[in-house]
Amino acid sequence: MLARTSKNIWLRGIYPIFRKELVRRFGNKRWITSFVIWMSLTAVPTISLVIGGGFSPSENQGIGLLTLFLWLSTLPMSIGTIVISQGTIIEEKLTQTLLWICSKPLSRSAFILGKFSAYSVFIAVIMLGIPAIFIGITSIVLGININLLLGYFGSILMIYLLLLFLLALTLMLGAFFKRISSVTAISLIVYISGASLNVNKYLRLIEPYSFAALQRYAVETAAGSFPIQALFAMGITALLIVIFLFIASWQMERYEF
Amino acid sequence: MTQPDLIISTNNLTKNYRRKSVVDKLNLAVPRGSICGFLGPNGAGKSTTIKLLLGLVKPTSGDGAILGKNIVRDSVSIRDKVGFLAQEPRFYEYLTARETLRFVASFFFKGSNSQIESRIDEIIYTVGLDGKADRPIKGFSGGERQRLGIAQAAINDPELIILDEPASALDPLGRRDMLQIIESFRGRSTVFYSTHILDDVQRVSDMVVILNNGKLIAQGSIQELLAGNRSQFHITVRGDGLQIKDKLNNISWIQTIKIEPGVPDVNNHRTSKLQVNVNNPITAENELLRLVIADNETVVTEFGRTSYELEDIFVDLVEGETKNAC
Repeated sequence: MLARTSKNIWLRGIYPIFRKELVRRFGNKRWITSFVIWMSLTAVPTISLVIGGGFSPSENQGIGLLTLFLWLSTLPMSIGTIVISQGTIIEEKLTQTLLWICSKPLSRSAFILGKFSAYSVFIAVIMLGIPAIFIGITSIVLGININLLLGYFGSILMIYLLLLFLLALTLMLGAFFKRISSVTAISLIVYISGASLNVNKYLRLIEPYSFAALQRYAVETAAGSFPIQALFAMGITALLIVIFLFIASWQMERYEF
Repeated sequence: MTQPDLIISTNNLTKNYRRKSVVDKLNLAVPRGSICGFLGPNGAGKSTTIKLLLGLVKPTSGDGAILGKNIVRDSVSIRDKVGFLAQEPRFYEYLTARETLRFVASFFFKGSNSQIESRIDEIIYTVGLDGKADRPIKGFSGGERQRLGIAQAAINDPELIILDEPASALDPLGRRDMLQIIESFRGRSTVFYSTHILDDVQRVSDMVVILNNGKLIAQGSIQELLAGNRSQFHITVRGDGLQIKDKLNNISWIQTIKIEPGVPDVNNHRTSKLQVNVNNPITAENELLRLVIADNETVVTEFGRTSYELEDIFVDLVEGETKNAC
């Protein structure tokens, strides 16, 4: 006798969606291609820049490696997050596979959360995790104090939070729009605008508490100092992620076929 | 019929798009265990009704229940017990048929993989996809996609299977196979399927629901619908038939008589065919022929009750409804 899945209505169907997206990203050795791409875009250029000038193991070079990685890699990872997730909902709308899967016992919240979870895992492992670990190990080889790695770990969490913010934003926009270009454009505008908050003297006041400051805080933390505003920025970013996911679920609930 | 006997019931279910009613105060009553054909011309509102039943579209007003559960509040629970095949089913092209069924099964089942795999094998065999189950869907023909569509709709052994135009894009052989698959669900699941192929409905369905311009114009068993109140008898008599027509016109249970030329008899004499509409078919069956042959001058060459095809009923109902609406 086959066992039926649980009756939790709110999250009903989250596992099939999560698993399907994971298989799509990792299955059939696709992860190898992604791994090579993200190592080439982030870890390899950083190491080349630091060690290319001459291999002289020291704590300073180790710290330089960590901070340079955080400076250089955040931009491609942010744009990469938007690019990989821009079509995940819209393609399902356009190909009408959304009608098919929504005719199964799948709650709309589970649809959004299943996708969000799978992409979060992909970002955590392939896009950010492995390159970050590789850089961390290289910095130890260069002679960095192990205690500094704790700060580096905190920095990676901040960058991860920034990427999750962009992921949640892109998913939310995907729930509203029918064109991938609209989603990409708005997500990029939000990201670039965040990075440009310092240009305006009034907006400069909110910048320290926004997602846009996370990259700066990450670099400072990796270098050994942890500004207290970073906690506010992290909290506000986490709250915005929750709000975006809630709005995306609400919009999907309203979506009619 | 009581509520528990009904697997689908709706109460003034209405859906408007920009003030235009696509489904208008629909009151469906589909009994458990039946194979119900859902008929209507293109644009009648069949697909919208199906989407309303599955919670994929929200009603403007009215409500409905499937398996006693509310179609708006309990749509996730309903979809747990229902299988659905869309009009033009779309699947993930990069998956094989088996992977697709595995994906769908994971919405319903957990635990033992071997049991799930054996259920998948069983359903693949039922729909005749064995041998093709490990091919990517992107290479599938229309008929194979439709078979896969039925398989994914039935993987959870649903109490109700809803199929939206399952045979419309198939060739005659594909249609025949599809009807056999639908027939195979008899006794296990209720099947509610929309179509505009009337011949198919008459072959496999127990009951029909007819929709036109979003309004319900008929529902009931095929036999009820075919019998209806359209009781017509035909009598072929030698000659012009005017004399017997005059005589029959005085009978109270005869409504109208229409005469048209008949086929010449064995001696090549002229004949006339009288189409007699009656309001009491039982009395007519007992007495009509007796009344005609009581007239010594009338020679009857043929007599019978006119039989109808579903198509006749459908055309009459839809045309009648359309004229009324005008």
